[in-house]
Amino acid sequence: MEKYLVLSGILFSIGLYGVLSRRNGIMVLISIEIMLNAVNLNFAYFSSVHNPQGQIFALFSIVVSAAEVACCLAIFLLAFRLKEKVDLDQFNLMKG
Amino acid sequence: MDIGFYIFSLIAIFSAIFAVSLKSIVRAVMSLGLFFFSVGCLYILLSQEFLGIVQILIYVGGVIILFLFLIMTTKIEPIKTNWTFLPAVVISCVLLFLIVWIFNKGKLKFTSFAPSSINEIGVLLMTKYLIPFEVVSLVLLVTLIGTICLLKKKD
Repeated sequence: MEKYLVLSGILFSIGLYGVLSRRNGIMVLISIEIMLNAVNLNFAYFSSVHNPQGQIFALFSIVVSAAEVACCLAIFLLAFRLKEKVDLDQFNLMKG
Repeated sequence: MDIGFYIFSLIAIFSAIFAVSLKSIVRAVMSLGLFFFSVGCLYILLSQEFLGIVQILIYVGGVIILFLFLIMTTKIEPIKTNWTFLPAVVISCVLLFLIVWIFNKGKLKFTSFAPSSINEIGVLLMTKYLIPFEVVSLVLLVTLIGTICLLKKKD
């Protein structure tokens, strides 16, 4: 029954690859969503073999990630109004 | 049960790869929707029907629509070349190797299969996890207000 853990590891690695290799903000957000879903799959697996409380944690994680997507898309819309693109390399107004 | 797991996990892996690596953003978002759907089916195969239904409702019904709205209202071009291809592949392969190695090392042995019901989740949410439940609703309210304040046009 450990195949769920291997699957969630594979999905997490795919998400990490996306975060590292794409520069577009929306693509980075998509990759972060994939990583969050891999972690939720892990929670669901352990909850199905252990006790149902991990399912509640996965539920909270889903709600928080939905809120995060809404916030991030608002910020990207503002950035698009400012710079006409959402390239993450160009968010350097603070010269950091 | 087993063949369902293999079918949906193959769909999940390939749609995740497409969602991460496609050039066109609309196609990537559609592939992400397929990914969310197959992960929801995997939850249902784990006999966690409530989590699967919530996954399909929130992600496929809400998050994908949000992405499509953003793409529709702006003109975001797909990005050019990704020059960090090789380091990203190397780092993610190393991470995958580490994860699988740790899971093999840990020798996880669970014998009891505990099917959970929606009834149990509802009781837990209303008794033991009442305060986190309320805090999560507060998070949603703050997100709503914050998003509206961010996007309000200043006249």
